[in-house]
Amino acid sequence: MNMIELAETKSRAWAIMLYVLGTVLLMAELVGMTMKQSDFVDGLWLGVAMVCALTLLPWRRWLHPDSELNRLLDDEVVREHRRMSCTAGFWASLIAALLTAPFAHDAMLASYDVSRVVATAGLFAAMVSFATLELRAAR
Amino acid sequence: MTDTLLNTLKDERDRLGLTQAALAELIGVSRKTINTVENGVFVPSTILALKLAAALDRPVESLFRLG
Repeated sequence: MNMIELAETKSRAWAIMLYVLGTVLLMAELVGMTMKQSDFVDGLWLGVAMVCALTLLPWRRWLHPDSELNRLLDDEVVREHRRMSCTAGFWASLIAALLTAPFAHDAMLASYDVSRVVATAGLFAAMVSFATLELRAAR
Repeated sequence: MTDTLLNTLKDERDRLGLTQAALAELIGVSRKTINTVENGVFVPSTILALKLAAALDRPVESLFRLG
């Protein structure tokens, strides 16, 4: 397997992992919102959300900027996909914030719940759109 | 009116008998990049366009044109 094929395999696996991680984040959020709140569920959501946020950063390039494989995994198209997906995440967060604002104002939602909804919406939208763009480009 | 960038990348690649992966390896990008440029999904930077032109031994203006 040459470097191009290796990069393609890793890129596809990364995209699938983003779908899985996004689903886990959404599930953790739904469980946290619907079930009786517990420190475990809150902590689980926070941990997953932090991992999800890290997946949107170009940490490969930061860690090993001279690696040929990392250069392929973070080339022009990938950077463009990251920009587009982060924009999608921003809009999803904004919409979630605007939709939850009236509930927070009337104290129907706690501030922690609002911040979870906003962060989950942004991260989920960004991860799913990034994974979709990457898989579509690899066709 | 929105300008679109048309390209003859696939024809030129076929002329040299290169696969997308082989061209990607020549210029040091992923196959996804070649695929998206070829399909007009992604507009390449000037640097990438020049690299593609050099690898395919064609002037850049013969590879890309406005549609």
